[in-house]
Amino acid sequence: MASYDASHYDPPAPIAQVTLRDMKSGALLPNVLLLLDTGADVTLLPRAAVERLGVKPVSGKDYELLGFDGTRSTAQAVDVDMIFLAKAYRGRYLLIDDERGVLGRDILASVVLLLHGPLQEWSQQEVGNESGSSAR
Amino acid sequence: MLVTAIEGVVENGKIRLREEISLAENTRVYVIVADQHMPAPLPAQVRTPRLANPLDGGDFRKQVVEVPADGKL
Repeated sequence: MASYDASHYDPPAPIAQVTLRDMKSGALLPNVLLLLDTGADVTLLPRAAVERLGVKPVSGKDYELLGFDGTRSTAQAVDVDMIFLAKAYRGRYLLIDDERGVLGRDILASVVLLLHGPLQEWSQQEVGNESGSSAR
Repeated sequence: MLVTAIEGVVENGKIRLREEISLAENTRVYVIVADQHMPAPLPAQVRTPRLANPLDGGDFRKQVVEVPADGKL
C-alpha cells in the first residue's frame, strides 16, 4: 500500500515514489515523488531530480502543453528509465519546475491500481487477484 | 528630469489620454497602472497537462522491462 499525501494536497492526493535511471551511465535516483493524475496525457518529472541524475534535456525538441485552464506552456524532454511498481519504463518524459512531478496516462494506462480514498491509500491490483499487492 | 502626470484610460488595449495633449514623436512616457492588480505571471507548473499536439503522443510510448530482483536492468 502507498499513502496519499495530505500535507501538500487538499483533498489528499495519491503519490507514487519512483526511481529514475540514466540509460547511459546506469546511475539511479530513488524517491522521486509523482502525483497520480489520470487527466495528464504524459508524465512530467521534476527538473531538479533529472538534473541531479545528470541527464540533459533532448536538444531541439520541446513540447507544447495545455493546462486544465487552457494556458499554454512549453516543456523540455528527457529520455530516461523510470522504475515504478517493479517495472522499468524506458522512454521520453517531460520536465516540470516543481519538486513533485506528475504520473500521467502514458504510464497509468499499463497498470491496474486501486485508489482507496477513504483510507487514503492506493495499491497495485493484479488482474484476477482481489487482494492486490504492495505498491512502490 | 521634469515629469508630468497625464491621466488616461485603456480602450481596446490602447491608452487614450483624457486631455488633448500633443506629445512629440519618440517622447519617453511611463505608465502607472491605478487600482489594478498586474496580471500574474504564467505558472511554472502545469497540472493535468495535455499535449497541445496530439500527434506528439507517439513520442511518449514506453518500452517496459521487468526489473529483476537484484534491481539491475
